[in-house]
Amino acid sequence: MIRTENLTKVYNGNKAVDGLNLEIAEGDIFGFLGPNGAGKSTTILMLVGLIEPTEGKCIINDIEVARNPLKVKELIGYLPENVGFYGNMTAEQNLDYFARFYPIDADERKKRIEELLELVQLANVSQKVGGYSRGMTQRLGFAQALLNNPGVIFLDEPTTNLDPEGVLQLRQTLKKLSDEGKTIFFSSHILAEVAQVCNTIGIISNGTLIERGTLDEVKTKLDVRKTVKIIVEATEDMPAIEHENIIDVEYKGRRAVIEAKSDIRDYISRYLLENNVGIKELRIEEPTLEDVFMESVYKGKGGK
Amino acid sequence: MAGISVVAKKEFRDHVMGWKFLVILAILMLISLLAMHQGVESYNKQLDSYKEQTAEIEEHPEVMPPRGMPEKPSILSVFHVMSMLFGILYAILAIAIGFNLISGEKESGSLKSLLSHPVFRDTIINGKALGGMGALGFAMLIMTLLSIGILMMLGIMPTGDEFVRILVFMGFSLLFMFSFFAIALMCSTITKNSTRAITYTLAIFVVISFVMPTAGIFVGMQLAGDMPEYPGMGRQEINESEGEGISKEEQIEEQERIREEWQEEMQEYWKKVMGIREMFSIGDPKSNFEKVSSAVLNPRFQSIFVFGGPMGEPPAETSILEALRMVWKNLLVLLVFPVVMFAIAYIKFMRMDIR
Repeated sequence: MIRTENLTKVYNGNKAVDGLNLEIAEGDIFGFLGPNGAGKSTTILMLVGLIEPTEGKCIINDIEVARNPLKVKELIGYLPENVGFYGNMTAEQNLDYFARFYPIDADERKKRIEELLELVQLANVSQKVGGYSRGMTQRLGFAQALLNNPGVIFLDEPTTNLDPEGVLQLRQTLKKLSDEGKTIFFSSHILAEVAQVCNTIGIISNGTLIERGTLDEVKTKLDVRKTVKIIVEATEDMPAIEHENIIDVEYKGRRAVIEAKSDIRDYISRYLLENNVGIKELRIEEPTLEDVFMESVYKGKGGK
Repeated sequence: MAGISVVAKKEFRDHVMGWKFLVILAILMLISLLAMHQGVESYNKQLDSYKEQTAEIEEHPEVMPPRGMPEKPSILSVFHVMSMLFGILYAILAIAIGFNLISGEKESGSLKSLLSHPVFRDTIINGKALGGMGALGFAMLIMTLLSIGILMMLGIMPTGDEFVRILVFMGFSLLFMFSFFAIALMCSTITKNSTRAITYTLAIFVVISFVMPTAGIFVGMQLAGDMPEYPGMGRQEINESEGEGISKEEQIEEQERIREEWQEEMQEYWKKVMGIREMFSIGDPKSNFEKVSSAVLNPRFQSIFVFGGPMGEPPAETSILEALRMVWKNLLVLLVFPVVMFAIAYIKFMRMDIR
């Protein structure tokens, strides 16, 4: 389980993360969403013990990170944003170097490394990491994050540099890891990515958590629109529709897009039937999570 | 402890298999070969001359040689020449090894990957320092074996004392390299990237090794007052004085007295200047290394600056321990300097945010 309590980080007087309170249950795939510079990476760096919080604390499996970073690092795996390796060494040598800091014997270490390289499709690559493409480096970074078979995995923008096949493979692996009961903290600024793999999400903007919950919960909470969009399609040319709640109507032949103060579908259906016009389609157009996210983070709620 | 050895082994392997290390070591070995060849040639000439002079003295013990008693040449003089030649190269090798140890990993992102695993930060910096020092030690071992091997190949067998002095000199050469390695490691830790790290390291190198000692001489000459002028008489003046009823012997005696007084004043003057210079270069590993090397490689080392001096017997030989006692301050600085630089790097590394 991952928990943060009033987590704050100040750089040169600016709050990169401001009083963040999070709780992520065991086995969750948590999507941490936010625009660039929102404080996602800073939060992860505090969670994995690479930077110290100015205030507050991070707790992973009941262990406070700042007090016992080494113990926490034995439990977690971390794929940093723009992950880096030793360019003069092969993938196997890089993983072997990191694996030597765990109490794993040589045979087990070798076996584990072979499995991981197989998983990320780098098993038969003999070239040194310095000659890798960004995508290959990212895949090696993922293998590195799973080196100790961690119970909690932090992934900072893990799909960056991956090709579509790599992204698909990552999603499948994350699903499998989640089924094994591992907790995954997935940070991204791309909503579509998060929506594909995560069951809960949190949205951070300017260092503050603006919403969290399941995808539907977050969408509902963030949807602050005061109007509804009604799509109507008739069997013949659309007559002019009038109602006090209608703000705007756009007619296109047999079709109309109505912006209203409330859901007036009952009135519209009665009106069309009274005018002997058949109804082919009558529905409310729901905002997508993407719309809500863009609206709240980039235009509305995000600003402090 | 196991973690330190993992880091140190990797660092050592990276260094000794890296092109920077191999290129500089190859240059060092090449120059070493040339220096040894020339030094041994010069040593052999000096030895022949010494043998001739001693044979002459044995034949005519009543005749005092014009340049005083001959001094038996020592093979250590070859290493003394090497210490002058290699000072800068040793510093360059140490800087090349240390300047991107931390900054390079920050730039590549490998430091973040490394620190995400259960390893203490002090394990990393200690391991890196040990690996780097090990690589420098390896270079020094090769240089020592090469030097002694060449001597033996040329049929020169150092005496027991000379052998000890050569080994101690090599040890101090290593300590000298550690000083610049520690400066480079410190700069690598406090700066954000390797370009800045190398710039800062070279700036410190130039300031402490060249600017400060030169400034020391300049300030010393300003503070020590006017340089004493030689007040003695020329040959013409002596001849003129002879006409005034003063005998030539008296004049020569008087001139000798004036010369000795002037020598004392001059010695005092230079003592002041060099004292101020020493103050300015107290933090300069190069100056301290040169002084310690002189003490170790010169069996007749004298701690103070001597201007001129009476002819006759050369200064008495000093044991290596006595010589080191004479330069204890320089030795102390040579020991303390890398420790201080490393301490700064250590504190900074332990506290820095890895972003």
